[in-house]
Amino acid sequence: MFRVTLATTMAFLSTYTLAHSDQPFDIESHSHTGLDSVLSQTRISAGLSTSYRSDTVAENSVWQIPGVLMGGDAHAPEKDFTLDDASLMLDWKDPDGVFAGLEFSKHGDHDLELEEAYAGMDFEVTDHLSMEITAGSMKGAFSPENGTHAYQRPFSDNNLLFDAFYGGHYVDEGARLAMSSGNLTLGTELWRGDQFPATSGTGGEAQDIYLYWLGQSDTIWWRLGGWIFHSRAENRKDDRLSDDHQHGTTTDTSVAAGIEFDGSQNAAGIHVTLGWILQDDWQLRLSGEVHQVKVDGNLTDSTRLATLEGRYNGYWIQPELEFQQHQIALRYATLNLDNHLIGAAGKSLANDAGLTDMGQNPEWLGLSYRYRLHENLALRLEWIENMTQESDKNYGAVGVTWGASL
Amino acid sequence: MNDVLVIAGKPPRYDQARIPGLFLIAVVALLTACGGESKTTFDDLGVNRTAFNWYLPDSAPLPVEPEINPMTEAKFQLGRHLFYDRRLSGNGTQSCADCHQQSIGFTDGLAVSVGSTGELHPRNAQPLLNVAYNATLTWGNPSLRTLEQQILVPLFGEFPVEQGINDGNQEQILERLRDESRYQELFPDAFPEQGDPIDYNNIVFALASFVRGMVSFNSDFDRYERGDSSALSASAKRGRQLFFGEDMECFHCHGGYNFSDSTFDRTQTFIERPFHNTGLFNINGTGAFPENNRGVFEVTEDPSDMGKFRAPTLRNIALTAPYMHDGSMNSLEDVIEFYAAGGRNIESGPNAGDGRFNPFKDGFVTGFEVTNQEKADLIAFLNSLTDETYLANDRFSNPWSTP
Ligand code: HEC
Ligand code: HEC
Repeated sequence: MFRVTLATTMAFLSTYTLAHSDQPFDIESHSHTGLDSVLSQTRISAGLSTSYRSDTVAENSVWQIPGVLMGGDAHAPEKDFTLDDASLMLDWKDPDGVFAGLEFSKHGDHDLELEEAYAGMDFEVTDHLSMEITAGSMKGAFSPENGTHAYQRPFSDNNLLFDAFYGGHYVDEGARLAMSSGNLTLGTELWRGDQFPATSGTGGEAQDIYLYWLGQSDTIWWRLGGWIFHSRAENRKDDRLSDDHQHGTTTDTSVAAGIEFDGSQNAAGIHVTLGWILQDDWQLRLSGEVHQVKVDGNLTDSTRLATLEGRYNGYWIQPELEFQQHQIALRYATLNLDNHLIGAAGKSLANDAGLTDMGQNPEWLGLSYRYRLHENLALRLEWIENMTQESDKNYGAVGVTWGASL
Repeated sequence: MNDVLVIAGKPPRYDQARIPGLFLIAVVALLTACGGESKTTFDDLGVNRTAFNWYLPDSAPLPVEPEINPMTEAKFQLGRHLFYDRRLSGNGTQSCADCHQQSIGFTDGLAVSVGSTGELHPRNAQPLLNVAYNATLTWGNPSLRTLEQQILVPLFGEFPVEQGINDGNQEQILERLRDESRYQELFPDAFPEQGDPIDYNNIVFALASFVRGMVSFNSDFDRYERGDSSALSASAKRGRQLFFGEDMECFHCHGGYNFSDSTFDRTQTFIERPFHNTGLFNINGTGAFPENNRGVFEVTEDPSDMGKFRAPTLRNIALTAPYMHDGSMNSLEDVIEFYAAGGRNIESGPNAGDGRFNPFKDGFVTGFEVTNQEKADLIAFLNSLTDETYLANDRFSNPWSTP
């Protein structure tokens, strides 16, 4: 009985439906279950989250946390009804270990895009070691948090740390090699660098390496691990400023749009998830991450140049309590952003690029309550204190989340 | 549900339940270690060192001071006296200030300037404000890059004659200055340890220091940008959106803190010196501009430089009519209509031709639709660029009027 509940918890945590967004553990599952026959078929799953928010964070402009260069898919939560996220996933796997997957996603007012498209295979190297090779367009597996969708997490807002350091989430074209032994998974990913914080082409690239351990004992289970992520960018502009997401034209955005970053971002993180089964219907989960990021490079625009040394760290921590249909979660996230700019243009470029500090650490605090109306459908109420801009924004959100295997 | 199966299918052979706990403690320790508030610090490598008080707000970058003529208050004050001194002209009738009057943004209010001997200058007198930030000087000359070079032109120029100093009168002019008791102090203060400091090199250096020091960022627009949202009227705010918008395109050429894409300051490593043909003329459809006013072409003789001029600052623009290098537009409304039409069509006379089709016209001057309300809003915005404090600032006023 207990085992089953635990298993359900694990499944719930990893996503409602999908294993692929939870790569480190997915791998060994193929090799140890002997249920490949069950898996050797196409599965379709889908999910969506839509919310009404009472306020917006970045009025008439692009989401910019003072003190860090941003980009990619990092978008501020918007007022009114928004489709936070809608995804459709197709997974296919044959008995020999060959697999492929597609994921179509729509975030906010972006167009529908093919977010993931990959193929790969897994095989046993020895009795105790299995390997998986995947290539294509996919989400980085270095942190379980990188792959989550708004309908899977307690909050409709994206994780502050991923918005600040990974352009919302890291999705790119690349290849992954993962080895699993027992409950340990060691993986490495090599990316083209098409996604913030990297750039593709001669001067750009990204790689990461991660290690996770999934374990359990009587009433506790855990997932512990960490990663190192390295990226290089060449002439990286904040493309959010020039694309269709520019809602206002001001001097600031037009100046910021011309600023380029050349250099590296070296990041590391630690991930922890702990779960307790308290009584049959009560579960407690605690998850969190600590991130450390080092940015070194040059900021330039058509006439100015300065060297940037960014030393950032941050963490998020999220206790969750689940009882029958009720789920309550609290999340606190904060960043510490230290920048040092060297050169004549340091001050003016920092100013234009949004790197001037606001005298305090950006913070994000959220409370979420979800009520499961049905196996796949939940109602969600949220209260957010967003202290990531000069003026704090507090807002509530009501929404529904749906996720199912079709 | 793969995970389900894995976990469920495996006996709990772990006895390591304490490890996650220890891990958690380690993480908490890590968290408490990353303390302190976020901070952005700077090392400007000494470029902002200066012996001069520029009286600039923190948000404004400092202009470049040439190594051969660093700024000092003494040179600035000497330059101010010379700027307002008619004795510094061949016939003693004209000073810089006659063509650059403080009350109208240091312009002269004429379509084109008139020199001391009555000769007409082909061009409109330029406003002097934040000139120190201009990457090139005058309306359209890529080779005039320092005030020290440029100031020789009004003093000694012959085509046209402005202040009319020449070989025949220059000694006599220096004598006039030597006789002035104020200069007997001002020159040695500004140029100490020189035996006889009253010479043309020092005159030019002092004038350049004064003009370089004529900086200000105190218009309603500046106050708005510094956070006072009530500094602009609703109409001016709408005008600001139009100005910085992609329909009217003004900001591409009149962008940045000095409203010109030809701006240079200490923060810059790479200097851009752009010039643009805005479609004012197209004589006989050849793209030509009038003989005496062809912009950069006059210097380079490169046919593609025909009619190219520097985008001037729009600061104090409400005061500095008439507009354009030849003073051919009388009001801001005329200017907006000109841009809305995408150039100027001259139907008759020696300059006849449709400037809208000038082959060298800049791609950002393409014309746009504009309503009367939008025109009024844009003008309200342009009016907000007037710096009243600058017009009344004693540092830049005539020193001879006070004893
Ligand atoms: C006869 C009137 C006249 C006099 C006298 C005169 N100027 Fe000018 N000034 C002009 C005109 C006209 C221009 C534009 C010249 C051009 O584009 O060729 C100009 C341009 C300038 C500029 C360039 C501004 C810019 O934005 O690039 C400066 C600086 C300047 N004058 C300073 C002075 C100083 C200093 C003196 C006294 C030594 C002086 N002027 C005397 C009419 C005059
Ligand atoms: C392609 C670059 C460009 C664009 C776009 C442009 N300007 Fe200009 N502007 C210039 C240049 C160059 C001059 C000087 C032209 C000349 O005298 O021949 C000028 C002159 C002016 C002047 C007269 C300045 C003076 O001191 O006499 C005003 C006012 C002005 N522009 C306003 C605007 C406004 C408003 C817009 C947008 C509707 C605009 N400009 C768009 C380049 C541009």
